Amino acid sequence: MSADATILAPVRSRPDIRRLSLSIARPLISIGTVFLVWEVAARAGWINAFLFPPPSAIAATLWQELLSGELLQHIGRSLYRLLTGMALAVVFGTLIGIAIGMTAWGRAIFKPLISAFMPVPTLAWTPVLLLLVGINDRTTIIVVFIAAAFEVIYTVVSGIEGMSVRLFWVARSMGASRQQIFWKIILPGIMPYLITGIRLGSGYAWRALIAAEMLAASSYGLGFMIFDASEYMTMEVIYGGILLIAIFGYVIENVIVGRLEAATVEKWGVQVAR
Amino acid sequence: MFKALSFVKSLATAAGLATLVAAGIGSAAAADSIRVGLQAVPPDEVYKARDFGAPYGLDLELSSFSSGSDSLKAFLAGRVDVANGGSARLVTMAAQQPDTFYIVAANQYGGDRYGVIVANESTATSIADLKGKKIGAVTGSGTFNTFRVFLEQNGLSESDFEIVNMKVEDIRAAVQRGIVDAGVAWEPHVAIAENLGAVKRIISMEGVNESPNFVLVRRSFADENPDAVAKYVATLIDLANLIKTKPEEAGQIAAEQISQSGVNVEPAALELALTRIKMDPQVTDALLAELLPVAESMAAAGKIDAVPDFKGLVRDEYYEKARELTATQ
Amino acid sequence: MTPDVAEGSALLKERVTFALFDRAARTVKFLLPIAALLLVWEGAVRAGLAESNILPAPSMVIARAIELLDVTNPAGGMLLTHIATSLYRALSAFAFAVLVAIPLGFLLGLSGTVYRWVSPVISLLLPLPAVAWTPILLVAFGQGDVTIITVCFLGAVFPVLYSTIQGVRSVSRQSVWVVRSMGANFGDIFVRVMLPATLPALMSGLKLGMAHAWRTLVAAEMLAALSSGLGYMIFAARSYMDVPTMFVGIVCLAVIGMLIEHFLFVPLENATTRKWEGAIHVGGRR
Repeated sequence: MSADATILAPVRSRPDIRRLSLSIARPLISIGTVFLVWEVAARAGWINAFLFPPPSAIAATLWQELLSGELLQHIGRSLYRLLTGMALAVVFGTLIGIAIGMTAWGRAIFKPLISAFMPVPTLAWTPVLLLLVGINDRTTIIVVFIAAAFEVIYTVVSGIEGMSVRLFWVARSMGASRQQIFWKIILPGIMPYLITGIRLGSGYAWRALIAAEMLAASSYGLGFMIFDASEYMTMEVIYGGILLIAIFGYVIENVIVGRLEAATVEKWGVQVAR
Repeated sequence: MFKALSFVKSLATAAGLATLVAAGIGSAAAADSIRVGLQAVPPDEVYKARDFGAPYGLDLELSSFSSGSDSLKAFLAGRVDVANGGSARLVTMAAQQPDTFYIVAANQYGGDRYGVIVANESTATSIADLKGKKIGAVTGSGTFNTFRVFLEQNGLSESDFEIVNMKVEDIRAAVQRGIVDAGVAWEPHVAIAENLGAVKRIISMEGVNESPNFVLVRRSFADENPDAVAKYVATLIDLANLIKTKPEEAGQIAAEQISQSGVNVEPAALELALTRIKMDPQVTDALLAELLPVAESMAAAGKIDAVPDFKGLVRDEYYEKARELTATQ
Repeated sequence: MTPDVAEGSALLKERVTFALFDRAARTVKFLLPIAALLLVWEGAVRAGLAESNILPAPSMVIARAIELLDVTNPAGGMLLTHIATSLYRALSAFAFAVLVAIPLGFLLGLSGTVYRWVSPVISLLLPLPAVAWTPILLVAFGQGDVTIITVCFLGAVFPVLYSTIQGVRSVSRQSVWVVRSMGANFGDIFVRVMLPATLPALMSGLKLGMAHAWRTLVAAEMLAALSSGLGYMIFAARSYMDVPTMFVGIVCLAVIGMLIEHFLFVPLENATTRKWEGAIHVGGRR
């Protein structure tokens, strides 16, 4: 697999300005076309401009909300919940994932529980969380944790299962202790998988967070902003919120964690096929 | 399964037509029909359970929506001909889309349908007792607007309490668990929670204001089908009469309708809820006037450009005609 | 019958019973932690740690489920209708998603130009929760199966598409070159190289896609409430505070989700990817 990675990795030796500008221009053109069609359709009256306001009106509303400081509060609160929930998910998800991958008791206890809980929708957790933690930021943070933890566990387990048994034989035959095997073999071995898990998990967690902010109890947050706007039927804010969710989701999953993933691929020379 | 359903539907339509002809009202070639957007609230459940259109030869095509906002969006998109709207949403629509709809009737109103609930063991009996305490509410809802008016009338304001925003479905459990000290909710949530024995209602918003909902009809539909609209308003008068004169029966009907989907609810709870909701469809100046303060505060907050002319949207003639229709019944 | 054959059949019988026993033992072992959790839950409610009208005990949920399944009851049999409707919607959404995502995934995975132009739009749509589409689709398609199936489709299509692209792109160029140098045409390369190499990624994509279709369904049915479907039942039960019925709905979702994974994907995975994968892995066969 390491060979594929080197072949598929873009040649970065000579930073070609034309190529770079094209790689920035392409997304702008393709996304811009979508917005342009939308704008024209709304202005020309092909679609109901109240229900589908033109992008320019949405941008103007967003700008106003930004100036009033409200928007930053919503974004900040959403990001805070996402980061806290993700941090919890990475720590507990890795531990549970290793327990499942390495130990018989871990498999016996956690696998059934995970396959029972995974299909349970976010909303179903709210009565349980209400009993356990009450109604505040912790509710949404736990929802994020749940959404992301499954993905992290899943990738960590498949990372361990994908490791060759020979590695252990070799290490053990050379007299490595259990601890050494853990720190020198398992942890570096699952690192690339873990980061892929974080990337995918952050995507799910972001979506789950928005849904939780919309459906469960909250105040502030982008999901709440959309929900609140639909009470007033202010469509520009609804679409503005949806756009921001898309943009932030993209940035978190592809730019921030995506860079991290690319860096690990470079360092360990492994690409995870998921 | 879906084929069977459409077969049953066409059978029902055929049967409807047959009764029309038999009754001799079928002088017009085709029966009037109207598409109605409903929600999961007790009066709408009663409406779904009985064919209120049959006495007038009106075909009702009912769709259920999970929120008022979705129902209004479908209304604006031309998916349904009539829908309910009130409070902030109606103000936004009146400000931005005044040419698309008429107000033809009032729907649910009355302050009694909003209440403050506390846990059974709570010693609070008035709003003053709750000063400085946590109150669960749905901020932005019509209920919360009325609650604010109520606070003002009692010389209090929002800042005298710690308002915790939550979903109406969670308020009862939060009050019961002591996560909040009290909750502000609307019917049927208050009545069902009381009926469960989980909480008690200590304050009703009766007399604070009426917080009305209105029946909106798309203009293009009303101009082409004035008879259908009048007949629809007539069915609302009948519904209001049934609920007002026989609340017990109405509660029973609603509970049966809800149980069709496999959900259990006490008829007594729905009866209690229905007695707290006013249903008279006549649009009065007093009801309309309640939209003004909502619009003024929204205009001040920059959510709308100007206070819309609500009176100009009202069409009384459908209600007048509906009264005649129900009288001849 | 010669003694030899008799002995052989006895051995076979023993082996079959052993396999059955082994399977039963494994199922029991699988259910043990879940049963333990249910016991703790039941105990917590009985001991008064949780109010039964907020979190009902498992026994209450089971009793309500039996009521809902009882055909002699007026509301009986309703649960089966809800389940059937939900399954119909989720499976058709999943089928559409597979039909669209796999060919599109191969196209995007194989053609760099198409990928570079289309992927920006896709990656902008990907982070949107499928639920956010519901209000828009309600306006566009109205109340009905079309809206719900479309929302589920949007929930399922991206994981499948994403995994297909990943799978196709991970196929090593050398193996394609080698096979081509041996005179293979495009069809051969597709069937013998691309497809097997893509399968592991594709399978996990399908699994995720189905799981997402199922999870999205509930939210979609809640928002576009019609008159049937598990999501609708949960929504109605929640609005009228029928807590046991709400939990029946939630438990059905979890159990059906689990059954789909176990009876659809595990055998499918065993039949496809395991065939090509090396046998020496730490976890061994799952």
